[in-house]
Amino acid sequence: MVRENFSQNEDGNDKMNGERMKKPAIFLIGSFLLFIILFFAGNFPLIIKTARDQFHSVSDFRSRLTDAFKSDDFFLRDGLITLNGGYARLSGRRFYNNVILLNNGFLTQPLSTGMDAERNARIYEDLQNFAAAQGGDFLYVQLPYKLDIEGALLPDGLEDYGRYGPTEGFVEALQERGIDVIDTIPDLSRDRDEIEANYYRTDHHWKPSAAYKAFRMIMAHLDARYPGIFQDEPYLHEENWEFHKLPGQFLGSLGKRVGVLYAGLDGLEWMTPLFETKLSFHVPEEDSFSYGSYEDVFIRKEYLEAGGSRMHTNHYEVYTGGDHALTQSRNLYAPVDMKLLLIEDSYMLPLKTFFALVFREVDAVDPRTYTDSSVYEYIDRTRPDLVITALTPGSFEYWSYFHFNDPGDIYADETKKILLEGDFPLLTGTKYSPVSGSFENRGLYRLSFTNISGMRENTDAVSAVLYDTENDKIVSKKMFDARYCNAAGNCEWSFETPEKCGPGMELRLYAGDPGSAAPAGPVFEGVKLYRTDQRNDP
Amino acid sequence: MSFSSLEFLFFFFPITLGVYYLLPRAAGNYWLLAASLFFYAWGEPRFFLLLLISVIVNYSFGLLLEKTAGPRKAIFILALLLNFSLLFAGKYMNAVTAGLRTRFPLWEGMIPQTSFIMPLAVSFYTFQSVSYLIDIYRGMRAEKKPCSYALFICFFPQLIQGPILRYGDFQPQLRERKTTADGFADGILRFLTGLNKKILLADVLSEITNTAFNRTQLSVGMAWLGMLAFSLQLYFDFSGYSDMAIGLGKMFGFRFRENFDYPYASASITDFWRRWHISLGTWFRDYLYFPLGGSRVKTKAQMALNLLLVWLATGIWHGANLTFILWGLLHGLLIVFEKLSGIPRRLENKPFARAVYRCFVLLAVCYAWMIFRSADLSQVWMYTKWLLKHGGSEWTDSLFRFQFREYIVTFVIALIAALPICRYLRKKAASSGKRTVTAVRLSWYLLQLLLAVLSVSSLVMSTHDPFLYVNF
Repeated sequence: MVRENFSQNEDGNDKMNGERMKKPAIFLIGSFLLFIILFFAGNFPLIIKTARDQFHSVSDFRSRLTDAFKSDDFFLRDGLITLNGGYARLSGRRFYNNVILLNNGFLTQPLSTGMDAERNARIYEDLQNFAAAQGGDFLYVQLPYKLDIEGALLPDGLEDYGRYGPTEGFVEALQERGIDVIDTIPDLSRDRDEIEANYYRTDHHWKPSAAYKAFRMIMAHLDARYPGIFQDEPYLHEENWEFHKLPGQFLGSLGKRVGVLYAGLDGLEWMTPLFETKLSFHVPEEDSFSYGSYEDVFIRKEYLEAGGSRMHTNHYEVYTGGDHALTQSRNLYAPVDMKLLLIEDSYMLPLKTFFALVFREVDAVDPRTYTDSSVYEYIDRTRPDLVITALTPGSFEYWSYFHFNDPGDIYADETKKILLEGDFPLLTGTKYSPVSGSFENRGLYRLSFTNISGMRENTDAVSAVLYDTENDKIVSKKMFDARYCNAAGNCEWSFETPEKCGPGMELRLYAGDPGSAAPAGPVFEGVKLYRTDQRNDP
Repeated sequence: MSFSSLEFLFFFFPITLGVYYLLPRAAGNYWLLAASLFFYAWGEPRFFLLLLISVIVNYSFGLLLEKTAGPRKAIFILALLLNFSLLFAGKYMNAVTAGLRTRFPLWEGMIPQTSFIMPLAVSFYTFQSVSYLIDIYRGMRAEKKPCSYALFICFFPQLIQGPILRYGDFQPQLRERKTTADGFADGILRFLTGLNKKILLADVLSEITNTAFNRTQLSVGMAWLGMLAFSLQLYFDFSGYSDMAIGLGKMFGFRFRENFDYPYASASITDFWRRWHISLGTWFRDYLYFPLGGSRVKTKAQMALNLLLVWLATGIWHGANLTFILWGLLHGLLIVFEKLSGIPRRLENKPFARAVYRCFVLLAVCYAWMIFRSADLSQVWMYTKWLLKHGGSEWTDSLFRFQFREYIVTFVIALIAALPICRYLRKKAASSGKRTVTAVRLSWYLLQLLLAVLSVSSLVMSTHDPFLYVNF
C-alpha cells in the first residue's frame, strides 16, 4: 500500500499532497455553529425580553441580560446543571457548589463557626425573662444537624462543621442560665444509622418520621415538666400513624444545587394519623384558612402528584406549604388547653403539625420573615402559656434569631452612633479598603450597605473582614454575593468584637475572597457601620 | 465581557459573527469596530470615553509624526508621556500616593490619597498604542483611516488581555484577508480549546490556589500544592484566553501571533520567556531592550543592567505591588545568570545535567509565580517558610489530603495538557495513513466540542446558587 505523505502547515492543518482535509473541518464548523445557534435561538426570548424592557444605559442592559442568563429561564439550564453535577461526581468531587458528599452518599452542607455562645445564650435568657413576665414558660429545643456527632461521615480532611459549628457551647450556656433545654442531637444525629434513618439523602431537612421522634422526646419532657397535664394520647404512638412514601419524587435542596446525577433522588415521605382529627389552619400572608382533618389542612396534595419538575419544586413543603412568617392552628378537640408559641425555622414544618394535635392554640412565628412586629411584641400581645424555640444549627447564621426584629434594633442606625458611612471603592482581592472605626471590647456592630456596584465578571463576591492588625489575623469574615445586593435590598453583617479589642482592629472590605486575584472595581455603596449593643452590663 | 461568559457565547458572539458574514465585505471592518466598541462599553462603561480619547489622540499623533519635519522628537516624547501618564494614573498613582503618605507622614496633609480606578485593559491598549507610535517614529507609514486605526486598538478578541498586536502585522489584514473553511475550523478549534482550558482547568485549579493563599498556616504539602496549582492555573487562564483571542481572530480572517508555546517545557529561563506571553516579551525586547543596546553593549555589566531594567519594567507592568517587582527582578537575575554563565548552551551534550536544569527552571518559575500571587512581601516570606517546613508547619495535614484527593483528576489532566504531548502525538499520527489522521482529527474535534458543552454547564453551574432553597 502506498503511504501518502503528509505535512502540516503552520496552522496545524494536515495536507495530503497539497489538498486540504475538508471533511473534518466541515464537521467542526457545522457542529460548532449548530451548538451556538441552538443556544442563541433557545435564549432569544430572554434577549428580546431584556431588550424590550426599558433600560437606561449599556451597563443597565448588561446587568439585566446577565441576570436573565443566570435565571432559571436560561435554555437547557436544568440539563446543564445535571450534566455538570454528573461530571463532578465522576471526577471525585466531594465538596461541590457548597454541598458536601458524605461517606454514605448523603448530602449535607457546611456551617459557619465562631459564634459567641455566651452572647447568644444571653439573648435567649432575655427572651425567656420577657415571656415569663407575660406569664409564659420557655423551652429551647436544639434540633439536630445532618451530620453524625463524631463527623465520621465527612470526607477525610474536610473540616468538621458538625454539630459543634455555630452551636458550640450554646446548649451548655443556656443550661447555666437556668433555661430549660432539650438537645435532640445525641439521639437523632448519633451515628450513620441515625442519619440515614432520619434524613433525606438530597435535602438538608429531616424526614417527618424524625420530626415525630423529636415530638415524642419533647412531649416526654413536657410531661415531666407539667405533671398531669399531658395524657397518653393516640398521637404519641407510632402505630396510630400511617407512613407514606412516593419513591423517586424528591430532589432536595442540596440535590438541586448539584443535579440528579450527583445527588440521586429521594422518596417523598409524609405521615397521616389513623385517628380522627379536626382542626383549622390559618396562614395570614396567604390569606388562607382551612378547616378539616389533619390531612386536609396540613398536607399539600399538589406535592404528592408524580411527575412535575424536580428542580423547581420543593417537595419538603408538602407539610403546610412551606415557610411562612406566621401560622395559626386552632384545635378545639386538642387535649391541652394551652397557648403555644413556636419560634421556628423550616425544620418545624412537620413538627408543628404534631403540636397542633396537642395544644388548642398553636402559633408559629418565623423571625426571618415575620416583620409585622417583633417577637417580643407578639408575645406581649398574645400572652402564650408556653414559648418553644426550636432551631437547627444552620439557622444560627440568621441574625433574626438573635434579635427577633426588636424595634430597638431596627432603628439602631438612627439612635446609635454611626461610626462611618459612605461609598468604598477600589476593592480588589488583595488590596482592601480599610474601614477604621473605634471598635470597643465585646461590642456588637452591624455593617450595612445598600448596593455593590462595579462588579467584574470573574467574581460575584465581596467580603468584609474584621482584622486584628496587631496580631495579624482575621477575627471574623463575611462574604456577600453581590448578585443579591441591590438598591432595593440591603446586605448586612452583624459581628462582635473580641474580648480584648485593641486599636489595631479594623474592618476591611475586599473584592472576592481576601487574598484572591479578584480585580479592582467593586464599590460598597451606602455603607453604614454602627453599634447595636443591647447589653445592660457595664 | 469575558469570552468565557454566557453573554459572550450566546449573545454577543453569534450576533457579531452572523452580521459580519451577512454584510458586504467592505462593511466588515466597520461592523467589527462597532462590535468591539460595544464589547468594551459592556465591560467598562465608565472608561469608554477614555478609550476613544486615547484612540483619537494616538491616531492624531501618528499622522503628526509622519508628516512633521520639525520637532519630531519632541512630539514623539510628548505622545509617549501622555500614554504613560494615562497608564501611571490608572494603575500606579494610588499605590504611589499611599506609599508616599506612609513613608513621609509629616507630609501626609500635602499628599492627597488618590482613589483612581484602573480602566479596563489600559495596560494592553496603551502598550499597543505606544508600539504604533514608536514604529511610526522609526519610519513605518501611519494609518490614514481613523476607523482602521481604531479597529487595530479596539479589536475585541485582543483588546482586554492581548496578545499585544503590532500594527505592521495587523494593517495588511485590514485590507485583505481571506477566511477559508480550514482557517475557520482552526479558529473554532483554538477558541474551544481556550474555553475548555479556562473553565475546566484554570477555574477549577483556582479553588486550590484561593484556599492555599487565604490561609494563615499551611502544611508543606499544601504549600507546594498551592504553588503548583497557581502555576498551572495562571498558564491555563492566560493561554486559554490567548487561544480564544487567536481563535476568534481566525474566525474573522485575522491571524495573530502565538502568545504561548508550552512554556513549562522550557529548557531555560530564557527559553521560558520565548514561550510565555510572547507578545509582551517581544514588546519589551523590541522597544526597551534593543534601544538600550541589548546584548550588543561594551560590557557584560551593561548587558546585565539592561536585562534587569527590562525585567523591572516587566514586573511593574503587571501591577503596583512590590511582589510584581520582586517577581520581575527574580526572572531578570536568572536570565542574567544564564547569559553570563552560558547555561544551558554548555549543557547541550550532558543529558542528565540538562534534565536537572530543566527541573530547576520549572521550580524557579513556580516559585516566582508564588511571589507573583502573594498579596505582599510578608506573605512571600511566610509562604517560603511553609515550603521549606519552617514556621511550625507539618509535612501534610487534613487540608492537603482533602485538596489533593478532591482535585487529583483535574491536576493530572492539567499536568498532561501543560506539556506538548498532543503535538507529539499529532506528529506521530501524521506518519500514519489518511484514515488514521482523519479519525484522530475527528476524535479531537468531538472531544473539544463535548468539553465545550461541559464548560458551558460549568458556567451555568457557577451561577446556580438557589439561596431560597437553602433556607432553614
